[in-house]
Amino acid sequence: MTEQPINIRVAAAGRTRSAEEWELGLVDLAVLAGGEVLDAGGQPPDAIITANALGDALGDQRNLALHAADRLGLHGVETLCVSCDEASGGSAIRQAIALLLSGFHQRVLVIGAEKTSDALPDQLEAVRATGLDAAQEASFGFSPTVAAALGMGRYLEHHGLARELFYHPARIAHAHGAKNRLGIFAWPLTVEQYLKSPVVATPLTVCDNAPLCDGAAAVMLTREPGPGVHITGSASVCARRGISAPVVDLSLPAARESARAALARAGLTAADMACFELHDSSSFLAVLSMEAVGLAPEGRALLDAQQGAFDEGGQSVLWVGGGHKSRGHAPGAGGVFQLVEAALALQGRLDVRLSKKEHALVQCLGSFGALAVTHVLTVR
Amino acid sequence: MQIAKSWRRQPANLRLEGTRCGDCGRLSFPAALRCSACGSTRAQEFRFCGRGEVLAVTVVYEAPRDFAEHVPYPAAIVRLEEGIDLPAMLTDIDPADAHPGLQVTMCTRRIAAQGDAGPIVYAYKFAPAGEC
Amino acid sequence: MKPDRPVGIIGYGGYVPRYRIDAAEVNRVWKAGHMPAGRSFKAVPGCDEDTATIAIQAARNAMKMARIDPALLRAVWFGTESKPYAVKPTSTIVADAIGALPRANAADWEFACKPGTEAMQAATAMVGSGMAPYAMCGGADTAQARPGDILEYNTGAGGAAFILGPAAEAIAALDASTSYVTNTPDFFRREGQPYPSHGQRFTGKPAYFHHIQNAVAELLQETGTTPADYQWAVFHQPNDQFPLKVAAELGFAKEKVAPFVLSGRIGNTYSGAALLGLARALDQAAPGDRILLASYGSGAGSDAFSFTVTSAIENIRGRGVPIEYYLNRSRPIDYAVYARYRGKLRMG
Repeated sequence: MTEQPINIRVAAAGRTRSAEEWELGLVDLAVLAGGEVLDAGGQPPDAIITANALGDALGDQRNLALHAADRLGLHGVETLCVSCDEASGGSAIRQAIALLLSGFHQRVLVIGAEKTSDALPDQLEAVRATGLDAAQEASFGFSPTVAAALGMGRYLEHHGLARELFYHPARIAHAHGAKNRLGIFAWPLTVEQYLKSPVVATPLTVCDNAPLCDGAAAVMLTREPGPGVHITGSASVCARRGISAPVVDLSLPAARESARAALARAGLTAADMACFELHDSSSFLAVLSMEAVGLAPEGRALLDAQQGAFDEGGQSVLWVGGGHKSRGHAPGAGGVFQLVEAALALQGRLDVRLSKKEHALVQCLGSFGALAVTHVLTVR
Repeated sequence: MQIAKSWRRQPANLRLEGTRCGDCGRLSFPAALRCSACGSTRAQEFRFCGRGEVLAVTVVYEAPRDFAEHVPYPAAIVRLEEGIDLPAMLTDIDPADAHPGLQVTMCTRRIAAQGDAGPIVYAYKFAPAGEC
Repeated sequence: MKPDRPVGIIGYGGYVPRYRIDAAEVNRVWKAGHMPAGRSFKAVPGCDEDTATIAIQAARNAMKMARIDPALLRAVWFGTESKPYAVKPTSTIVADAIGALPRANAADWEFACKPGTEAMQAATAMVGSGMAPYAMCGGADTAQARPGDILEYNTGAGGAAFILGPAAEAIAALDASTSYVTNTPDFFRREGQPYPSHGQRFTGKPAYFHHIQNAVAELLQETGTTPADYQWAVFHQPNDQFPLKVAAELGFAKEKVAPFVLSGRIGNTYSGAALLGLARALDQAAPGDRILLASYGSGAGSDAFSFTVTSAIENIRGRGVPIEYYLNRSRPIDYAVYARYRGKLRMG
């Protein structure tokens, strides 16, 4: 059976700042991003899909899509909430694609929104941990940060690398993110700052973690033809649950297969991508993602990053908007932020210099890499 | 207060009880209602011996909520003798002495309590072999 | 007292946490080093330990030595004065952990420092009557003392478990036992109070000494023995001096007693104290040795036992964990870390 080509156009995009928005609640954030998309003009959507990871667990507004639809003045539309941990953004986009390809709808508004600053950091970490194995990991003091620390230590030991090399994913993210006025940490990161960063769980420091924040990003997706950025590849793949597999095996099979399938669907390879938005919620997952999508062989991602292989101006630019690390990590919204930033970059609307290649790959991971959702974008 | 939840995890938490698939023999921890390898629902009780080796370990200084009392705690991936990898805290060890390759044995410790009035969760941690 | 069927110890185990605080360190904080006591240490439970976890490890060590099917245990009885739950047995948690449920009785016992030996009397009866093939008894504590109180110098943590069964299988057969109990409020803790109250010097002669002397005197009379007949004697040990003094008063030579006075190394482990002493004695006993055990619990009472070690003790060497291992295992901590581990800091 030959697969239908995907040609879903990104008709409009919007995003809020990524910040601690004391005066805005979860629904407010969704309304701001969604509103920016509606203000771009065109027909209103037939459906709204929201992406959010932590809201239900934090006791925030449930059934977010419904509440956002109401405040956006959109009654009569279909509403759907997607919650797949930190892969929610990519998963929501994928559901929109399905609704469009099926012919159910003509225009779908996807809004990723997350509100973290109402909770305290230790509570946030505990809630994030429930996306891991709740009974065996979250209940035993493990969290995505602890898992990333385990992975980092093992990666360094297994590949015989110096600790300081982990500076480079953060360096790249900040170098590009310094140009993103909407990012939470829009400044370059020096190696001195990186090395002085306090330890959270050995050897992981504060600078190895993306900063949790509030934020919302939105896109209007449609089957209607037109110029601009299109989604041409999509794949969602899961692998074994649990933190043990990525830590022990130092690989992300879901990310690898998801990238391969999305690229195959688009009829492209990694070498065709001008830029990559990968899941840098932690530097460990960032590095494994780089190796999973084919940017570097096993064990080489940090060394290649150190050589400047992924800085702007190169053939494979990482984190054009600063990644979760510099732009900010609104967990459930991240996948939509990635799509928006990659789309803007392909259109030359970001300050970050890309090659002339016309494609981008965006990938977000849920449950510490057990779920990977990848999209390929093409600008026409 | 979630009493039934902590109760039903007791066989796994106190005795490292899981299952062996009655059809393909695959081991699961904790117990699997359905074998993820062959789909069988014929599960037999299997008690893991509690011996293992540390594959990876980190010392946690900033803990998720409810685990502050253990800080600084070594959190490890322990490969049980039977081949299953299990995330678990280490105990009865100076954090600086925790390293991959360490042989460990299961012991039962107080993991958490649901506030001052809720049930206490006793479950496995791992101590250096011959230590606890 | 003797049961109809002969009974003995099939296996035993102990556990002491690895943290230690020096009495001098307690003195430094409360008396600025004025008139420090002689060097002595007490064991402090780690932040993930309590009476249940101590009892579980002692029970597991006993099972390792005894090598019996846990399903044959008809009682798992632990005594403590530091229960993790005020209402809900610790013994069920221990029994669950060693796989003895659902066919075991598993209530908790309380008699200040002697509920473990009270449970030993009951376990003896359980087996000796034929009601049970095996029964486990034990004592464990993570006792608390009011900060700055004299008791804070040596309230330790530890526990021991004993499995009783038919004398034919035993490593030490029970010759006889006695109990001497009065209604004496020398040391107690009222409901809801965090720390116990005690009568200071009243806990000496009218309490510890009176009850042990009477229980042991009655045991010697019942068995027609004298102190000379015993190779080893283990007494409850709230501190280093009391057991040596009562031994001397009863006529037991110091060298028979001193090796099993552990309080200078681990403090007073309360419900675990006499039983840990007995475990230590058995670790080094030879076949034919006769051992006296005399516990003391405030409230007040003493249980006295006479055991004769059998040749089977040679078979179990290397199976359990020697008490000396736990005595030697030691990580010193200061008063601040001790206060944190003992939950003495107000957290909210």
